[in-house]
Amino acid sequence: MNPDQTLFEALLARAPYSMAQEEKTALYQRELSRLTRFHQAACPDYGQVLGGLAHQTDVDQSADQQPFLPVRMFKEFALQSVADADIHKTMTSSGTSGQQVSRIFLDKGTAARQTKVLGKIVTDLIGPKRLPMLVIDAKETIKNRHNFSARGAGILGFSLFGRDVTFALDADMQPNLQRIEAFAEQYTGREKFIFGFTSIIFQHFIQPLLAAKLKRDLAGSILLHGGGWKKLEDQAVDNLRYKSMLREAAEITRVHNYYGMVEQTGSIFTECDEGHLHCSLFSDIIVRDQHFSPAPMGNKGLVQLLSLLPESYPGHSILSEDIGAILGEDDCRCGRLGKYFHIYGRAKQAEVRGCSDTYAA
Amino acid sequence: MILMQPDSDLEILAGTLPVYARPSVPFNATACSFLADLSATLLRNTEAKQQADVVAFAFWCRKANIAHLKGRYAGNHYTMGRGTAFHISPGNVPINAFYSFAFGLLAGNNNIVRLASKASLSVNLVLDAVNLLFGKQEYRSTSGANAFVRYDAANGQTDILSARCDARIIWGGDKTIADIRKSPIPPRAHEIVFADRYSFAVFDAAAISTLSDKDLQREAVNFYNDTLQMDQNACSSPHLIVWQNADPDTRQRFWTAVCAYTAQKYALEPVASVDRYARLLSGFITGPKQQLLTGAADPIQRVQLSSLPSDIDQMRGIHGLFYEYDANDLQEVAHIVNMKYQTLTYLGLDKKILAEFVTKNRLRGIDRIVPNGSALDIDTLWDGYDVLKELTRTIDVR
Repeated sequence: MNPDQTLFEALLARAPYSMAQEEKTALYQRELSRLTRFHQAACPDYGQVLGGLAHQTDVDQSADQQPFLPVRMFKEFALQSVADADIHKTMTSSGTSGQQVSRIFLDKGTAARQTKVLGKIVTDLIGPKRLPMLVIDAKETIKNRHNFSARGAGILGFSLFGRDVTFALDADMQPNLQRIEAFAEQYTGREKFIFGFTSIIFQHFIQPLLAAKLKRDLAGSILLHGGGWKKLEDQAVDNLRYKSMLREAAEITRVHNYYGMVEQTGSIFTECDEGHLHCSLFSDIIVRDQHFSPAPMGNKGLVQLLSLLPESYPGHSILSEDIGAILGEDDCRCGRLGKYFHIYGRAKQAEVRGCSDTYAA
Repeated sequence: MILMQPDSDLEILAGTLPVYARPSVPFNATACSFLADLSATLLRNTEAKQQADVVAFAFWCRKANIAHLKGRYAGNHYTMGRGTAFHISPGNVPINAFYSFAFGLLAGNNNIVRLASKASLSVNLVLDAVNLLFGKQEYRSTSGANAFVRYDAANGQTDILSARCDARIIWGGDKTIADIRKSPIPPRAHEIVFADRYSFAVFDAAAISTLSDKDLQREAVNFYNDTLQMDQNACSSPHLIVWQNADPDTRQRFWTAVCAYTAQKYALEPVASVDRYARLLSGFITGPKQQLLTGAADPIQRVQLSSLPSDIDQMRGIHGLFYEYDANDLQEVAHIVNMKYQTLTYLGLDKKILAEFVTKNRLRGIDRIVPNGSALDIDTLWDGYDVLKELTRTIDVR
């Protein structure tokens, strides 16, 4: 057994938001140092990066001293820490057309850890019982089971926590009103689990329902959504407005956003009733200024994400391109321990100056 | 002779598309006075004077410099403009549109300048001044045969304008050039392309060590202007600094001065910081053995290369990232120079030795050898072309 498997099982046995700062600091120093050393030896490209940075791994270093990879490195390079033969599945980010996609290589062990941790975090939110589930997406999204898009993987991953999984959209991404109606009627007055991606729910569920004045009664549902707000920014729809629209369109009152990257599937961050995103036992966040110094609590900066799960690829410490702020640690009114934070969206693209292949037609 | 129909897809921002227009002699009096007036108009405008690129352009086309260029051009031959020059200006060094126009005008051509679709304050300021002058009686002929236009790439205007031009000047990268070249030009038309280039610097530490603090400070500012002023995206900005007679103290002294000035002048955006860091890390994987010499908080990030492989031009710095190499002898560098190499910026070396470095080694690259601080100084000699000669035809009179 992997030496850390015992530790992982021990963590899994605990409530996901039960570790206070002191214990977590020590755990992350030890475990992240182990992961950094492991990937240094197992992934040659990662080893070269550490060499270039002159990063020392002979003694354990605190979490904020750990090297971090910008997420785009997973687009540029095939970073893996296991032999090709051990790759169980490859996940790709759902990049917009023309853009390179991230490729995340999972062996069986890492994939299993992701599933277990996701379960831990989701059941903490929706309860241990499998609820009737409505997925606001089309079934066709999960067709290719060997090469997962982040969207397909997300749907499959979250579907494990529901039963009687019903897809609300047809292949052409139009809401199937009959199917939604049947689902609503069958489970009237009972708890239901609704899952989907933030922008897809908005564009293919909320908007068509509101536009056609076709309200649906999905009262008693818990809706979990993630994937980012980028496409909603132009429409000036924020979290509060989003929630009120869901209430208006379908009587859905329990709405939770989650935040996570395909590079760290499993150890996601979910929104509590206070509206804060929370780190669990399995993840942590560091916010850095433009010079990469850790920012004081409350200050906006670049979001670095830590996860204890990635063993088959060096994704335990990554630098996102999002701007966020840590709001507090161990003291959210919801009672969860750990850091909680807010994400403001992608860092703004600066205007590029120069003359190398830049003709913007 | 060309005839052009104004087209609804084409937005004319200044002047008139040339119709039945004939070329003129290079440095004709109207062209020279137009540019001198443009310079004076811009330098009187308080708003324009706040834009460094506009000021540099206005300074370049001042009366005295035009006279200087005229003197340099004068020769024994009869020459004429080629006719109509079609300029495709770069998106991200917007001001170059006007240098390109000035080259065309001085060479005796009628000009159609396609501006990038994205509006820029600098471009608007110069366009306003151009329009002001075009309205004057004395420049009626100029405004009747020169146009600044903007159009959507997709609508076929490039085809139309290319098919009727006598010279085409493409600023942009390799991809833009490939795109534009899908639109044919007439058999006799002449084309100048400014492709993706790579530039580097050679600094001599022994010479730099003798500089006074004040002179060193000036060289640090020069280096900043050559590089970070354009986010190191300019073709002529050095990415690699080759040190001769490297001694660590001198190098440190130079970089300390650059860092201090950069810290004052350069605001590093978070997204730029991530770009730079990703570039740095990618280089560790794709490049030769190397080591970051600086701390994360330093405004300049320096990477020491242990060798110079022949594809080192793939490694580009950005937002304050630079590569360094210690050479015992300049000859060590000769093998990396290929056609991509444009500018060699020097500090503390003899320019004649550098010129001979190019000729004796029979190098295919290095088109400019300029002192530190002059990397971005655009001129009629540019990118290996004598642009004025390219835009004129020479009449053999015996």
